[in-house]
Amino acid sequence: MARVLRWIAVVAVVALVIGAGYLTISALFPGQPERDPGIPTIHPYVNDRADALTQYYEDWADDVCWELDQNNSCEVAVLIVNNTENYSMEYYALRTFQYNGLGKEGKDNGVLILVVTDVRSWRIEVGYGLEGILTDTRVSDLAAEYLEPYVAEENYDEGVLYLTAEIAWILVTEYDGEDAPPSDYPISFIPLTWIHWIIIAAIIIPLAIVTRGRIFWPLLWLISILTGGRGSFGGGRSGGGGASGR
Amino acid sequence: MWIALTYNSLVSKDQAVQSSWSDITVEYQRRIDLIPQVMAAVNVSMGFEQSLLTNITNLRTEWLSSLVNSTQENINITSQLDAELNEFLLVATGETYPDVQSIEVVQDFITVMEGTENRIAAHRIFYNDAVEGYNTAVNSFPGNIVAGMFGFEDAAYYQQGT
Repeated sequence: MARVLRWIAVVAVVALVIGAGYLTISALFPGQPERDPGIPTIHPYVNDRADALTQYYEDWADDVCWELDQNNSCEVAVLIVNNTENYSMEYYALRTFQYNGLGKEGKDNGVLILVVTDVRSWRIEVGYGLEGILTDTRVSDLAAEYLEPYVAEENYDEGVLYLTAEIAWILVTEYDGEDAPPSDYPISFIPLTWIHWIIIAAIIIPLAIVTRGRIFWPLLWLISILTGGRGSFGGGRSGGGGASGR
Repeated sequence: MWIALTYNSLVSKDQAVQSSWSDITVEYQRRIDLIPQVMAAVNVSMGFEQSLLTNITNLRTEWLSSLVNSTQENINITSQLDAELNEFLLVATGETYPDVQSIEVVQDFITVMEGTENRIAAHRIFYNDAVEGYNTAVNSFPGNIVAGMFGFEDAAYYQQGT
């Protein structure tokens, strides 16, 4: 009888620990809203999903963007697609910018050049940190001069390269790359605040002592899964700045 | 500890909703402020119907005073404002006065006006994202227990124009 009671007590304690762990984890890592399907994940810097560019020009534009990033951390990305699924071009660009986090976190110094070949249209989405330089009017003028005439003739090679180079030149000469404000996260690429780290330490350290370290690596792996990785871009944001046209 | 963490998380999500809403109001303010600028620049005020301008002015006043009221009230007024401003935009962009469109400052105005419209649309999307995150936290287990204890209620989505 005593043995049965002991087992019941052990099961109750284990259930309590698991329940408390679940509640704590659910509070620490609340679920995120689902992302819209069909919005692409893009990589730095030129993403030609419509096979509109020749390799030579694609590499050239990619080099321009890479040089710019190295020079002053601005992240310019190019995305060429046949269509924008069932979304408006503006929505597609906004979500692509948001999900991929163009620009550095805190500086928000990203630019997305979206070209839609089926309708020969374009949208340039500008990050918050560059709105003062790349104003709506200026972006519209740049596209009218460097992109539209070429897109109208389906000469995407020159249109994309000239526009990318002009934007890069403007950013090299006018963007001063001020220091980003301090991040809320002590380790910038892991989205956990100080309070999260303290709680995690309060859980891990006693467990590590009790288990003589055996629990440490599985827990670390669990945290890395829960926090996830960031994309190749820096986590910048935009708020609908820029212009579009055809 | 779980109650404290969940409560803090709910407060944080609620603040994200409020912050997203204030971003929308900033863009509306910016949009409204553009009107007198362009009117002064092109000096075409005599061409506009007085009733349209009066309506916009009244809605602006109503909208500003409604900022202290519920979000739903604000949303209703912004819907009316959108209709009036779009009508204004049609006039200013030359639907009624084609000569006006050739003026460079008006072309710039059109670009800027479209820009503010796009920003408002973007912030509406972000606002609804914030509401979705908040409402999910308020309604899903086990967060709904803490939400019920401290009186957190569902936030309103911005349905118009989405």
